[in-house]
Amino acid sequence: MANEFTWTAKKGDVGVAEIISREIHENLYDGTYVWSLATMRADLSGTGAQQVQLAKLTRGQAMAAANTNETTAIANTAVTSGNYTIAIAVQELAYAMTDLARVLQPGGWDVPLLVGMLLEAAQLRRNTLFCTLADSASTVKGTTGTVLDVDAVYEAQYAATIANVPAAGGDLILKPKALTQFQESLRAEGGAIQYTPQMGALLATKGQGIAGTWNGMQVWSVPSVIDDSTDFSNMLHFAGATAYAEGDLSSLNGDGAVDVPAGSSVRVELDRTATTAISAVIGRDLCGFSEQEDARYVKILSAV
Amino acid sequence: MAAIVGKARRNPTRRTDDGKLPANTRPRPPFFLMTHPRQWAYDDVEGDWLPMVTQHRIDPGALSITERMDPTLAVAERTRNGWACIDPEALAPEHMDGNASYVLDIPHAGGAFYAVPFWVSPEVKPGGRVIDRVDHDKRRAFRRAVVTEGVVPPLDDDYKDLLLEEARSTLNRKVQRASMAPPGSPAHEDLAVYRARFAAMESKSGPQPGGASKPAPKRRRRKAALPPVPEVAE
Repeated sequence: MANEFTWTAKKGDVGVAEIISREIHENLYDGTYVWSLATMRADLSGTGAQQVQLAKLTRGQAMAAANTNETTAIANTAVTSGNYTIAIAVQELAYAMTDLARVLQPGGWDVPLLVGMLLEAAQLRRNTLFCTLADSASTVKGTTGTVLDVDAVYEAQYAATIANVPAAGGDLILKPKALTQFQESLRAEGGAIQYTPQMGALLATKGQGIAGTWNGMQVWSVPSVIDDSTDFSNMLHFAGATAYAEGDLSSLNGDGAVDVPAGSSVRVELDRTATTAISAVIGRDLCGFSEQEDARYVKILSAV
Repeated sequence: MAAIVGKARRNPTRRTDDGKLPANTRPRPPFFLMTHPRQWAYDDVEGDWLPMVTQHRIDPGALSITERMDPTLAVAERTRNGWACIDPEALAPEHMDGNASYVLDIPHAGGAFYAVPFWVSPEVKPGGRVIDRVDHDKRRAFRRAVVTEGVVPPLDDDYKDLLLEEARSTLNRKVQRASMAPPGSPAHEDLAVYRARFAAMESKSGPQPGGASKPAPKRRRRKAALPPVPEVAE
């Protein structure tokens, strides 16, 4: 790679033109795949349904003292249970290019690149679906129309602690703007608990979006965090709060056979229309996200 | 482009996309509004408690919204979890700026949804950026009206106590900060403002159905048992 930039008078214009046509600058984009914090709960392939109802069980019921007269029979205690539903839906995106693309676009701008972009698109869509779940949290901290500060994050942690969620190990999912407000607020704080920015090793493990750790939580900067024009719906998420389901997309071939991809909910197909000289790359993902346990996450408001 | 090719090449007719949001504007799916009995906030301008209204996006694949954008299952799940889901046409138009529904779908050049509540007006700024202008007075009036019109239950006294406990915790934190700051510092001003706010929070109980005001409940034992907030010289 380094040697390619030695364009000089000796190489001449032809060499420069060739080199430039091979270089593609990638603009900034969101490469954060935070949706995988949700728990995979069901594969609906072949079930005949696009919705699944999953049971919830509350353990931890303590015994009570026996009746003092020693003769009254013990009464039955019902096991506390509930359920929730995940509905899956097809998400899709298509890129199309004419035959001229091979001539007019820089080298490398071809089908494999677009296939890769579609796989990223599936992940980004899952991010949005995951971040949408913040709005169903019944516990909300922060003040509407107000910038995010340390107090709001502490209050979210307190709420989780009160709900008996282990305080450490949460994921603080913030809109990038909210992250800057949080960092700004941290600048005014003193004491032993300080923000630790991400280091190379953490970034390499978690990928783009991990912003650091603070007070036992991993802090994420996620552009997919949604808003209602007034407030961003950031969240403090703990394992088990949310869940998702998938289904394999299968299609009928021309001969009637069913073509089922190997255990992946994301399917990328190629389409060619000769009459219009268009080659298309179409990606589809069959998935759905839902809240699993309300007590395990907290919505945190911050001004848009 | 027009500057390059010259005025004579411009199409004098209006494009069909005129008046729509630019195609690259991030879509906003339709939604319904909902409130939760625990989600109330004291509004400084209103000088009273108001319910927080949350948008539940009708986005297929999230929160039990089906592929056909049917919210029925989602409404059932949220209702079971204690939310009060508000029908888009639950209030009369006079409470929604003359609109029959609180959801407005703004035309989008890309054909996507751009659904906003009636108190939001998207504006296309020079450079193509879309800014959602929020009319907070309309939003506040709507939050009040859903209670006075009987769509959403009023603030429960016990939930108000819980909210006041949190506010008292915030007040204590501000007292601690002020105690470490020199007199006349912003921490002292902040404390004085919040102390007045806390007093107002205690005295108000939010709107009531029919619009009648309700006197603040008498102090309860639980609140009286809380440690008093120490005074700090300001």
